[in-house]
Amino acid sequence: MKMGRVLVLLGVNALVAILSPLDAAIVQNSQTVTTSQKLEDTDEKRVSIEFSAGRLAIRPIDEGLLYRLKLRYNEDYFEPVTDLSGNRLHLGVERTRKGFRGIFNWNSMHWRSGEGNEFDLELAREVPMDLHISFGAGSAELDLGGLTLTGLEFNTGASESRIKVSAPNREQISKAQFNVGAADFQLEQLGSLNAEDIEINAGVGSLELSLDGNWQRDALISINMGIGSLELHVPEDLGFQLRKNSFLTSLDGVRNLVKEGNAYYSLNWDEADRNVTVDIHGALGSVTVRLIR
Amino acid sequence: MNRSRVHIGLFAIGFGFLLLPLTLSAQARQIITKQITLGNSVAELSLEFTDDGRLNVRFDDGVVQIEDQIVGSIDPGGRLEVAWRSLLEGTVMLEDGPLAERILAWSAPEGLTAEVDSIAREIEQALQGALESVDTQARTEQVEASVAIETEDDVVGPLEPAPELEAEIRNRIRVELREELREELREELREEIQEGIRWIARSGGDSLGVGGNVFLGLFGLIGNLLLIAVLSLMGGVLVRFGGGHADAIAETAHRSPGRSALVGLCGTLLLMPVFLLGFLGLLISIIGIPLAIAWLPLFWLLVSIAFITGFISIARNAGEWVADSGFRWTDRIQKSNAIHTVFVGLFVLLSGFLIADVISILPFSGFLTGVLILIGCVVTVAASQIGFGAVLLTRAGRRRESWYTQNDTGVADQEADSPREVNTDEDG
Repeated sequence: MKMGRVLVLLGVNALVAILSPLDAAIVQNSQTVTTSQKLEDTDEKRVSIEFSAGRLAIRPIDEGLLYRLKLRYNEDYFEPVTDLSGNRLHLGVERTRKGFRGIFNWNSMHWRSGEGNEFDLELAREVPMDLHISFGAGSAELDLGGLTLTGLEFNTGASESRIKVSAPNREQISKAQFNVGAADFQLEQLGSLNAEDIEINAGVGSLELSLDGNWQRDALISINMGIGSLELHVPEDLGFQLRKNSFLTSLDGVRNLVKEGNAYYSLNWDEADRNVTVDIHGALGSVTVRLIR
Repeated sequence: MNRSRVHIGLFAIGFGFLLLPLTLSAQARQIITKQITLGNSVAELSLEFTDDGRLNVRFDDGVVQIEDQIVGSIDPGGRLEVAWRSLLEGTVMLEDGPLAERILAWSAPEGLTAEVDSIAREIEQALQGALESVDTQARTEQVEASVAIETEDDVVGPLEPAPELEAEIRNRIRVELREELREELREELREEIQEGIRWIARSGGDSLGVGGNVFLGLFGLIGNLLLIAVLSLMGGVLVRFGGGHADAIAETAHRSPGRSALVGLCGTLLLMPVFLLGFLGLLISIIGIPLAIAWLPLFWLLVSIAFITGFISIARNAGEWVADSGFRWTDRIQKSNAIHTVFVGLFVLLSGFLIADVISILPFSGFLTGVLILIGCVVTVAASQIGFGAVLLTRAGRRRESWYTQNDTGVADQEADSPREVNTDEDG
C-alpha cells in the first residue's frame, strides 16, 4: 500500500476517534426551547436576532402571536435570550462558556442533516418591525414575505443564506442592508421588499439576486463586492440599469443591454413602470446578468 | 324622592348584573408568554399572564422546583418526569385556551411513592392555581385532524384523540430507545465514514466533498510543511558547503531583483531551445553521441538544481528580512543560522499555499482558497525566476556582481568579504 493511502487511513481513524466522543457530548447536551409571546399591540418593534451557528429559519405567523421561537442549542455553551422590553424585542442565543466546540462542532456544522443548532422563528405579520439579524455561520432560510418591515439589516459571516420575499412588504423600507462575509447568498423576489435603497456588502463568495417581485417604486441597489461572483436575474419588463465600477471584474449577459459609458441600460429603461439601478463596486470576480420572463 | 332613589338603586343593580359577564371575562387571565424547555436533564414550563402573574415548574436532573423553590427530588427519568415531559411535548404548539385546557387536564400517574406523590400534588396545585382563571375558550387557529380506523371492508369508527397517551408513548419510546439508537447511529456513521474514505483512497479522491476537503487540506498542509523542512535542510547544506557561492547568489538576488528576474525569465524561455540545440549538437558529432544520452537527464537535473538553489537563496533573503523586521517574535530567529533564515523565508514564500490549505478545510472557502493558491503561485514563480536569474548572473555563484569589484583596492576586497553589509542602491 502506498504511503499516501496509509496516511489517509490513519487520518480518517484519528478524525473519527476525535469526532465520535465530541458528537456524543453534543447530542447529550442539546436542549430545545420553544417560546411564544402573545400579540398585545401592533406598535412598531425593533427586533434583534442573534444566532452564531447552525440552521436559521424565519417566516411569518398568523396565530395572534408576536413571535414563536423554537431553539435547539448546546446548553453547555449557550443560553437562550428572549427579551421584550418596551418596543424592543431581542431573540437569540448568548455564549456562556468560551471555546469553539460549541460553535464549530460536529453537529452544528451538520445543519443540512437536520441535526445541530437550530433557530426557527415565526414573526407576526401585523406588527411593523425594524428587523436586525446577525447570523454567524450555517444555513439560513428566510421568508420575509407578508411581514411589515420598516427596516432590514442582515449580517452574516460564513453561511449559505437564502432570503425570499414571497409576498409584498406592507410598509416601505427606506434602506435595507445586507452584510455578507464569506457566503453563498441568494435574494429572491427583491421587488416585494418594498425598499427604496438596498445595500449589499459582500466579502467573498457568490451572490445571486433575483429582481423579480412586486416593485412599488424605483430603487437603487448598491453592491460592494470583494472577491466573488454575482448573478443578477432581471425580469424583462423591469427598467434596469447596471453601473459597474470595478477593478478586475468580468461582465457577461449584457448583449441585450445598451452601453453608455460605464452603464448598461435595458431597452425599456424610458418606458418601464419601475426602474431599478444596480451599482456595482467590485475588486475581483464576475458579474452575470440573466433576463427572466 | 325616596322612590326615585330606589329606582336609581334598582337600575344600578340591574345594570351591574348586565355588566357582570363582561367584568368576569375581563378578569379572566390570559397567557402572554409561554416557554417550554426540554433538554436531557431539564423539562421546564414557564408561563406569564396578563396580570403579571407567573408560573414556573422545572425538573432539573431529578430536582423539582416550583417558582424557583425546590419541592423535592425524584429519580431522573422516573414515571413522574416521563408524564411531565409528555405534557410539555404535547403543549409545544398550543397557545391560549387549548394550552390552559391541556395543562389543567394533566394529572400525575397513579401508584407513585408517597414522597413523589406529594411532589406531584404540589405541581398539580400550582398548575390549578395559576390556570383555573384562564379563559379556556380563548382559542387561536388550531386544526384538528380526524382520524378513523379502517378495516378492509368498513370503517370501524373514529379514533378518539388521546394526545396525552400518545405523547407518553412517544416519550417512553424516546427514553428507552434513545441510547440504543444513538450508539447504533454512531457506529454506523463511523463505519460509513471509514468505508467512504477507503473508497476515496482507492479511487484517488476525484470527488471528495466536505469531508474530503478536510483531508485534502490537512494533507496539503503536511505536504507543504514537509517541503519546507526538506528545502530548509537543503538550504543548510547549500550554505554550509556552498559558502561564498551561495552568498553571491543571495546577494545578487537581493541587490538586483529586477535584473535577476529578467535574466531568469529569459533563461527559462531559452531552456528548451538550449536543450534541443545542445542535444542536436552532441548528436551530430560522433564523439558527442554518448554525451547526448547523458545530456537528456543531466540538463534537466542541472536546471532543477539551479532553480532550487535560486529559490532557497530568495528564501534566505526573505528570512533575513523577517529577522530584521523588528517584530517581537522575530528576535528568536538566529540570523547567523542559515537553516533558521531559510526556514522562515520558506514559510513566508509558501504562506499563500499554507493558508490556502488551512482555509480549504472550512466550508464555502473554495474561491478564497483559489485566490490564495494563485497568490502562492505568483510568489513562487517570481521567487524562482529571480533566484534562477541570480544563479545565471553569478554563474552559479562563481562570478560576483560588479559592486564587489568596483576597484581593485583593499576597500573593495573588504566589501567583497562582507558583501551583505554593503549599502548600494543598484538595482536592475
